Amino acid sequence: MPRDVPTYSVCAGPGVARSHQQLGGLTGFLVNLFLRNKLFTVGAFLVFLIGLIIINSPVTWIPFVVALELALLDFKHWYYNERLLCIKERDCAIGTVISPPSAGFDGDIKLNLLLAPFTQRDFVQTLLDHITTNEAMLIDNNRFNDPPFHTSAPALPVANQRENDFGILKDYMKRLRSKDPDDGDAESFMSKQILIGVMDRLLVDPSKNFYNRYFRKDPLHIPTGTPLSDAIPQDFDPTVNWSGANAVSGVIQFNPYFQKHEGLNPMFRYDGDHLVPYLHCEVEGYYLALLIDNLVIALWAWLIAMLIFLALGPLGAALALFIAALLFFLKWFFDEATGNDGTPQPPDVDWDDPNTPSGGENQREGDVVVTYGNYIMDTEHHNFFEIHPVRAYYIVARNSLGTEPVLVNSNLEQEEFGHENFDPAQITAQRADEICNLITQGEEGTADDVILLTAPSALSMGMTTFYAGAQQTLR
Amino acid sequence: MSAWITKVLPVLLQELIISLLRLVLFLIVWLIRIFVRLWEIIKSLLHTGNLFPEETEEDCGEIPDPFIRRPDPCIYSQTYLMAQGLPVTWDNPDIWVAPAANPGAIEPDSFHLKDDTDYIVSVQVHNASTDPAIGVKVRLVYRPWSFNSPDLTPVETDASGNEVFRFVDIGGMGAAITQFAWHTPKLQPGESAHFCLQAHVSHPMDTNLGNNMGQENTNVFSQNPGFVSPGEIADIEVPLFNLARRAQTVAFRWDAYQINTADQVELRLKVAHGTPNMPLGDRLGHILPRVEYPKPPPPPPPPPPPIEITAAASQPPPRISAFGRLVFDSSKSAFRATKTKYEGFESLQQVILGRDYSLPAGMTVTVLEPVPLMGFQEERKMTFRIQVPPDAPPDTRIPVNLVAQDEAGALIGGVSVFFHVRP
Repeated sequence: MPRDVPTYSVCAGPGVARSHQQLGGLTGFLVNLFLRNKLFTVGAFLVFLIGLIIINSPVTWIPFVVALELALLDFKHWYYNERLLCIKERDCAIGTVISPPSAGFDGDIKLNLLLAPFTQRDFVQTLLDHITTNEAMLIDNNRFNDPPFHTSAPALPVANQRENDFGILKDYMKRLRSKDPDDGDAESFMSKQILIGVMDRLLVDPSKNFYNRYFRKDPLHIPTGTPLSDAIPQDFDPTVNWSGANAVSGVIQFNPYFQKHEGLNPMFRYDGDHLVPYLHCEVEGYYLALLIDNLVIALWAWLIAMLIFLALGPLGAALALFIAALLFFLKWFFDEATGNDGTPQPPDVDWDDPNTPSGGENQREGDVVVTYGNYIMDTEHHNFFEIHPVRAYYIVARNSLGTEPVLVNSNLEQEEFGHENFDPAQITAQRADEICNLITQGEEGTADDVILLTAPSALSMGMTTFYAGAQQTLR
Repeated sequence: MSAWITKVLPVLLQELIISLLRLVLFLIVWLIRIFVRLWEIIKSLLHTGNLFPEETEEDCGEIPDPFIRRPDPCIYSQTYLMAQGLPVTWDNPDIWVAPAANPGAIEPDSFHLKDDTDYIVSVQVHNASTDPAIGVKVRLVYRPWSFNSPDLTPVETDASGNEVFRFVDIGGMGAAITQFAWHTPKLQPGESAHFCLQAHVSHPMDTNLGNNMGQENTNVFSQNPGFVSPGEIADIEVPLFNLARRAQTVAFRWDAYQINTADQVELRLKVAHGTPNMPLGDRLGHILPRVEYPKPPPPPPPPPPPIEITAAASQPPPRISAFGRLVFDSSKSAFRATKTKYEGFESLQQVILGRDYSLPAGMTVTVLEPVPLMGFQEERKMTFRIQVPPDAPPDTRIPVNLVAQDEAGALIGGVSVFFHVRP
């Protein structure tokens, strides 16, 4: 049945979808200035405001405020309409929840899936194999001249340590990833190369690579030579023998979304705590839109108040600024107090049928779930693939969450995610397709007003049904 | 740049103007809200002894309810149906057995199976929800022919001896069949090879846990020792176990109920509508105007599996306005939820209850111990002496359901026996 759950972003096609670094005009200038040097930007903005107050000229104020408001609204328009690159309108992903859903600054609820049919064991053991094969490369300092990341190879634990202690392996992977102080999502060139190699080792198994599209720019879903394919950075180099030693690609490409040259850009995220790649999914809220709307009305208030207090000179403009700030916080308080908080949580609902069940469900790490929504590439965050926005969430099974992973002689003998109730490794390409078809039919299909059941079926259903689903559009 | 001017700028200017309107309205609404909220607090204090309402836990970070789907996997469940006052049979329409050597030859019952033989057991699982049921776990166990033997053994095990489960995915209001491979145990001469099969279905989001267990416990009396003759008296032995933690009396009753497969029921979609429960004071916080950008229509649904579409009709893309829609609400105050289910089982229920399931005239059932007092965890074989009607027409199949109930009338167990009169 068609659903109409609230979503706020609309993905854009190639040529329209762009990152903040590609924003032009005043919006692009301000956003990029702010992200490059926050302190300088805030300082410069304050100086500018003080200048406006001192000038005390409505002729200057009006164009400035209107331009700033337009820039803010343009940013909002970009954030919700041009930030995400559409790949497929609706798609499904089956996997294990590897971290509890968390609320983001923009009001979205984020969750990360370890995609079926792979398990943590698959990834960790393959990672160890790949490290062993590439040991010489990983201790070669010449490979690690990669500022602001490494300038020399991070110390590689000896085989006996890394193959018997998950913590040591995890620590090494964090050091290999390294950090860019200006970009929390960025990872070093060699870290990307290692992860691409690990993924390739896993994806060569044709019985397990049915979610290739979420790990890699899959030509079956993103045909080569199309504008869509061209809009996605190169993430794989087929000329490299990724199963052999020195598995590194020499590809250097210009990434327009970051306005800089880089090597291969993996399309999957990697969790450094569980040592697994994952698919990021987001249930959307609208907090950022609310915040920008409130900033815009605060700017209007400032302009109006400045004009009212024009006679007071610079003091009037300063007073207007105080009033605008007060109004901004008042509106924020007003929104919070009335439940207009920008999160995707629904309000309390009154049902016309008192027998209607209602209430959320706790999500747990280890749940096997299917997310259904838009398959997109985020032009931000290093162009990772995502399901965003999530439009439906199917809990398939609840497995236990192990306490600590146990690594013995390169075998991950105890995983962090159990599979006693449902083993995602049992999912096959055919079953994944069947599940997605069922879900798409359920989400987008139309329910008949009347159905005819035979007595055996009606009796099997227990001669009763309970309400299901929510937020459905009845056609 | 020109595309930005023609496509984006109009909506930005619209937003700019609306934001000015929002500012003006905010100041007015804010003042009104203060008075409304004060009135609501005063009104609330007049009706309660608490200064503040009970605090509820923040659900930040949870997946919201409208996104979560809730299936109802189910199977023909004798206990669930009997609890609704319906007659039941242990000839379960959702469980059937066939020899692995000849999967098309469905066994007529679970009583006359051969020992040390490979069988395929099919289990049909239904979904009584409009949401798809993904990953329904199916468990199949067997136990000796009895009313309620506690000895449950997995039908299928893997090479390590671990029980094998099956998982099925079912569309809304649909059904799916899964199969188990069963090698019946090898028996010593003189041991009974009569079985009862029990299927369990489970799902973590199941909306109804009552209809998840069904039994197949039948004995067709035409197979072995063969057909019955009119007037023949058959002694049926059924073991009975008292699993209660105290002695209790057991009562028996019997009927000739069987599912009429020709019956049908028309179900109608029922929709529950939900609207936000917001006091006026809060609702005021959501009425400030905003611009809602036009959204692309959702993709068309895929065709159901059996239908193949050879050519899709091409339609011109909908014209998208340069301006957004002006709305005076928020996503929260405009939230409209609907939940659906099918209802209308009452007509079938009336049909079923309106029929007479008494044994045919001349057919009698005698229990040697009509109301046995079963000791603590005692096991006893109950013998039912059943006389086939002297005037039973040839080649007819007479069902007899034998039901054991405890003192409170709760179901202990049951078996279905079919008497096939000699042609």
